[in-house]
Amino acid sequence: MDIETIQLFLVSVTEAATPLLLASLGEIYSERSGVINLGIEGMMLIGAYTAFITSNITGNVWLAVLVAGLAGALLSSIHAFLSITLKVNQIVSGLALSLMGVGVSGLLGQGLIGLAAPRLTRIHIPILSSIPIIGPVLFAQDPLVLISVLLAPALWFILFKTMIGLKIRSVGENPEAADVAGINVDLVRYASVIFGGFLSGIAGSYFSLVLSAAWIENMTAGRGWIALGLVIFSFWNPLYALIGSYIFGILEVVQYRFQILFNLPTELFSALPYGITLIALAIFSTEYARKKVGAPAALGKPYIRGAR
Amino acid sequence: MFKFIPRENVTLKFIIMIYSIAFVVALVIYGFILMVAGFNPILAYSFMFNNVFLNPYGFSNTIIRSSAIMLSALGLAIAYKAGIFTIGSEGQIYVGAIMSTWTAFTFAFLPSPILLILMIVLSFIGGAFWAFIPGIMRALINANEVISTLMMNYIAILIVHYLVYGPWKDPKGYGFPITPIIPSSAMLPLIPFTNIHIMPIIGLFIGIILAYMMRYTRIGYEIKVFGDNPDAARYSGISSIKVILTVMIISGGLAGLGGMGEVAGFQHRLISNISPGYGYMAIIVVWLARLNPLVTIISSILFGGMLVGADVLQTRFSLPISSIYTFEALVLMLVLIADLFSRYKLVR
Repeated sequence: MDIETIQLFLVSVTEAATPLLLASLGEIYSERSGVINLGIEGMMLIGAYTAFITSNITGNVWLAVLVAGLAGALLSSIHAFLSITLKVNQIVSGLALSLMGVGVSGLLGQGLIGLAAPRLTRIHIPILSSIPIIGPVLFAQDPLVLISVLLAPALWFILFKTMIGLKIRSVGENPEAADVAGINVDLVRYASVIFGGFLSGIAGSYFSLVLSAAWIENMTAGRGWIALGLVIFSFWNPLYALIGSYIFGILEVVQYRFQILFNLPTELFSALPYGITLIALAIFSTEYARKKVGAPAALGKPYIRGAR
Repeated sequence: MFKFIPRENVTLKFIIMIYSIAFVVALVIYGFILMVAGFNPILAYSFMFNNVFLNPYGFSNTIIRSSAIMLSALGLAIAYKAGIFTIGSEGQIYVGAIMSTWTAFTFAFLPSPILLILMIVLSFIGGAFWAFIPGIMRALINANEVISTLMMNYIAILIVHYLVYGPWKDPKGYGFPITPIIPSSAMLPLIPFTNIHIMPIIGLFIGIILAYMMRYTRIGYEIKVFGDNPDAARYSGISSIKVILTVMIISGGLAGLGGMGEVAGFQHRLISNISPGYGYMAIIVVWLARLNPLVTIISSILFGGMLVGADVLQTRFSLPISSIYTFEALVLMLVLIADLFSRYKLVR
């Protein structure tokens, strides 16, 4: 393989990995605060829809990205209200969110068929983009690639090295203790879930502003569920999510090439992210791994003061 | 801040009232969304009602479409009673469908009743096996069953895709991702004087058996105790492994049976989307029924009706099928809220 082919391959990998990374970073924050949100797929679809229509009407792609984030945040606030304030089952509520997103985007998206919208263009950063291989892959791409890659260490730092991160982790580990320590458990959870929705919405906008030139119903095609698996694969750690989403991105790109090269069924490669997540889940759930880097202890449990 | 105080003396009338309000509000919000999307909601609703409930053909279709939802939901009712939140019915339906298709072609020489029983048994085993993997992961190392069953769903769907696009593809199928029609001896008989296959009736019997099991048997008691308080159950000598595996096998097997009904009763072949989300609808259904097996049956028929309604609206108004998910999600969210208000009151 020559450098040209490698570059082309890596560029497709970044395009596959970026939405996965954005969505899983958001979900990590939500789950670290103790709220699992199965609505990623729905929030991504709503993000894709709102981004497309905003870009189509205003022609401003950055406004479209922002609106997609806000739409995701709005949808996630429904989940936050149901699961944090009303304390309904988080699984059921999250599932409702996904159904809602698939349904609403499918229904309203009917009006978008045949339309076009301005898309996120590639920006060449001077000097950096002329570095061989890395340059074109990272610094001559649409800006969301670089933003998401930089976001991972930033969110890692906030989660593990700042007071805000400590609060998020403590309400996810032990809400009773956090409450006693004067942390507003519900407020922290609301903020984390809505932040997660914001990133999922932006992840969705990537499909309609970068990956596809037209509106396609259900265009995220299950990526939201892969992002959910990625959260486990990455030990609820933003830095590992960066690595994980690029591994999953490679798998996605490779599946088409391998089919041509070795005549293997594409389904085998499509199934790999799910299989890997399943194995990762099995390994990380063991007593040893749990002690080192387990799931947030209060994940999925509503917090009711005074009730244990 | 608001606080939730448990209600005392909740009357049935109150529960029905609060659920009806939820349903009406869902209709109103959905009607509004339809309007935004450029459809006339009144026209759509009346057309749907006439063609689903006031039309014998629509009604029998409703029952047919509720079959897989019903069987999956009955299994989920038991699993959720035990506090095991599997969302794996969708994949288990696909595995049940694979098993029954394979059996239908491999043992086509058997007489019809024996072949059908073999298909029922093997599709149950297939679905149960697909549920057993996440079940054993949960039972032994406490691996989150929500994620594992979800991953298993996607793997099962991909296996079906591989089969219908690859080795099992019908050479005379004009390139569609479908297998050839199964032999007629492998098709489920119909209920006399109708065009409804017998799987919904089997579902009804299973519902009664499960209701009996939960109320009068030892394992039913253990499932309830474990679901209410796993720690207390463990102290009183109930094996968590036994309870988890039992509910997973029941729920997986029944969903597998649902898949068999789709192949042997409805489609008469394996197709790439043998279940358009029946397994996920079952989750909503069982939640609406508050995990009661018999109410689950009624609630599944309601959802079967919604699917037929969605079909009707697609043909008449070219409304996308996915729009029905919006309505389902609204019903679910509002019922979740209604459910809460039927048990608690909000005070300042």
